[in-house]
Amino acid sequence: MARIVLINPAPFIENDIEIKARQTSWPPLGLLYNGQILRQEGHEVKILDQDVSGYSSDEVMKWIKQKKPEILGLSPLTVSLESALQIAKMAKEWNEALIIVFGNILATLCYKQLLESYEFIDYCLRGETESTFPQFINTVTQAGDLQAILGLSYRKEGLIISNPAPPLNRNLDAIPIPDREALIDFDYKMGSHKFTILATSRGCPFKCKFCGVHLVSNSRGIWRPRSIKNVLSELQFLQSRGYEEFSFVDDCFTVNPKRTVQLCQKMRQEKIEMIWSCEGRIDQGTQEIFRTMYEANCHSLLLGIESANQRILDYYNKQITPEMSKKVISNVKKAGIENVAGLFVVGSPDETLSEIIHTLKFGLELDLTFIQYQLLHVLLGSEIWNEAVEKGLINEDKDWNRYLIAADIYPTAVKREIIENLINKAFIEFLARPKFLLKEVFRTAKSPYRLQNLFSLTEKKSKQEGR
Amino acid sequence: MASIWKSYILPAFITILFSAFSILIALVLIRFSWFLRRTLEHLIKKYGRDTIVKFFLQGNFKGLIELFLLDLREKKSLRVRASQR
Repeated sequence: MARIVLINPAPFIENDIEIKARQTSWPPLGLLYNGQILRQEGHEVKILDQDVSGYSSDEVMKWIKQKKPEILGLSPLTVSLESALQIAKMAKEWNEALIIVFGNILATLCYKQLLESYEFIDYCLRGETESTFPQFINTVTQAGDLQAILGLSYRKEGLIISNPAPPLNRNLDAIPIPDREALIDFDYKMGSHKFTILATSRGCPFKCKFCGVHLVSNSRGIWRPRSIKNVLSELQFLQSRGYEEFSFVDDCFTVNPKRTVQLCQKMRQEKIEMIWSCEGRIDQGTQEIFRTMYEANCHSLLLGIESANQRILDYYNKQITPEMSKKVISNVKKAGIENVAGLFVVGSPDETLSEIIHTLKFGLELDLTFIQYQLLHVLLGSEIWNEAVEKGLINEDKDWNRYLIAADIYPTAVKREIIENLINKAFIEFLARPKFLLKEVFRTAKSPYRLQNLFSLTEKKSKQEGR
Repeated sequence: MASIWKSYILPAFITILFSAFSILIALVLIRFSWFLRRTLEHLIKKYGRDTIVKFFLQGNFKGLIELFLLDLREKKSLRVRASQR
């Protein structure tokens, strides 16, 4: 049986460890699923979340040396590629026999570039790897036939060999529930609560232009749910382990309103007392659905409002209107859900300055408890990426490892510095409005969740002073 | 006399008291809003907007207070280091 180490590399290395450690509080769910399957096969598996640990590459290497792995798996995104490459290089220099395998979106879409450019990467495992990873481990440790492993890309006699992609896994219930604490030596917190994430489904039937959720599994338009019974068993397991809060991180949680209601009703019946949050679409919620979610302990909802301009919403292919956003926010509030956050995207290729300002102001007009304005990212493999490639604005061979912003690459877009400046001003305006502050005081006074958080701060402060 | 007291003086007194209290609350909020604007500008410049967002999402204003305290601690340690030189 093999000793395996899986690493979620950090987006960037920052000196301030305290800030770094607070940057991300979401466990790497993909690695946890893979890790659990490998554990069940009898392998010794440990996962390191570099982002949360705050470890530098040297510290990660020290940790790897302690674990003495035979196989090292890394799961980089574009923003964390640099860290992943640094760790992989150091690991190979330490032990030439160590098998290094990359997974996730870059390994899926850019395996050729990775294997051609970096000698120390031995394999890329493409797509969802829950079914192929155990097979890969058994094959490489027993010198079996690599050609039999679907989704595997590797070097052979100077050539890059790429096996056919694995079929889409439609039976998500077959994936075991990860024992989070056995796999990662770190307690994730949301405020003062023991926190984790889970997904009740994968995929999304919508085709937003900027989105890339379908790229790893190549499942555009296909939504794959877990059974409610299977989701409940995971929730019961988490509750028994002392978790107090979780977030549903489905690509599209509210896609099937009937299922959402059923799940929430079952959660109530089964006495799931953990509080939770999720993301929702503007066009998928009535007051009744939100009320059921609230009754099942949903305390935060993140809504993708994106823009106040119909022209831009149509460009993103969002299939929503700004009026729908207003109505949904009012429904969520009436249902009793405490926190409603709005997500906005500005800086699309031909969005004018006045359209950007209109969106920023629209965010301030809505009755939101939090706001997030983002610049439009050009995600590798997304429709916007493909459009920019066609227009000659992106060179796929050179830019595959770059984190791109539309405002930087489109000559027609408003300059990034101007948009950043406007976003910062609008963000400050949102938080510092006296009306909003007064509402926050009342919300906090009424909310046991917020009060508990506030008291945990006082506790922490007095502990620090006591030292 | 009693009816004048109940009909005019007491309501007027309560109105004045309530108005004064409301004005006081409004002034406190406006002052705090100015302070918050300055602080947020400084924190965004130092840590970036994404960090502020992440801290806020971890506990609303409590997250911001934590970041503010962290910044104060850093400033304090810098001052200590400077005085030791």
